[in-house]
Amino acid sequence: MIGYVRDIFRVLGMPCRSHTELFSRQLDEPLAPGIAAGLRVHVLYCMGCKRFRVQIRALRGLMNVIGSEVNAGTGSSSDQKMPLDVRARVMRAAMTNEASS
Amino acid sequence: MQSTILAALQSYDKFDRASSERTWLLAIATHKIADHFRAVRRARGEVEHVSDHIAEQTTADNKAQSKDQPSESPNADRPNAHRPNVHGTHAADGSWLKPPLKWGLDPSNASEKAEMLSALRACIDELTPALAQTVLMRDVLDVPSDVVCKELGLTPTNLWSRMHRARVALRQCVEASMGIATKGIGMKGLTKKGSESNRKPTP
Repeated sequence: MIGYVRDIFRVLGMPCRSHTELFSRQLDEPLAPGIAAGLRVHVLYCMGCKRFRVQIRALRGLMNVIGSEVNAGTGSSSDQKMPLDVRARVMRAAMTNEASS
Repeated sequence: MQSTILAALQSYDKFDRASSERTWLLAIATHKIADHFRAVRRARGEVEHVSDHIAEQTTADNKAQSKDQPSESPNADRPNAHRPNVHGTHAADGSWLKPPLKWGLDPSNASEKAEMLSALRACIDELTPALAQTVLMRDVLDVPSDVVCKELGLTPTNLWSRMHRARVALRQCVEASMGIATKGIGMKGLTKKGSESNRKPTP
């Protein structure tokens, strides 16, 4: 609990540039609960960071759309329906098979 | 994915084993994506300037990996190290200098979504080879972070740093392309144009 509160205040004390880095990192991996909570509090009063977060999420969604188009164009649209870890396993398996052959 | 494996099988005899099979397969996948963009542009009658730099970068990365040399700048592994304000959006103290403008676009609107996708494709092409390759693998191909790190020889911090720089650059580029931003927001060091302008400063 102390660590959670400490993380919130640590995030609130950071400059907006650091917040944007954390928003970006949040798209790649879950942040610590206190840090995520600090970011949620920060966007309540910082319009710049709030817009940045919304916009990079929108761009991420659009890039996923491009990825779907790529898969559709290569005839592997079914890959999109696979869970991420399964897709990774398939990819790794394909690579492993290729390496061992 | 399927066409990548198919292409790999067809050209396996030509594989000279200068790099690992994984790197070779990822290079093929990157080429397939570039081919896809090229085909989409051709279909839309747009001017073709799809980057061959992705291939060049892949070759360069292969060489770098084979020599076990880091391909990122020395500061890339130090997130708290002082970085130049290449985006032009933040002041020296880290506060917003040019806060993001409200886009007012609705991605659920088909025409606006198509316009944004077109702008985003062009902006990905404008990224430097290293950033473009990372974004293509991570956000477009949706390859998990740990796999991307392994394939590109990056640390997680290094990957996050690259992804952040790419996203900031893409956000600004799309904003400018859609006519939202005011002129003058640069992407120095993050795009091919920016790199050129860095190398050849105007008098």
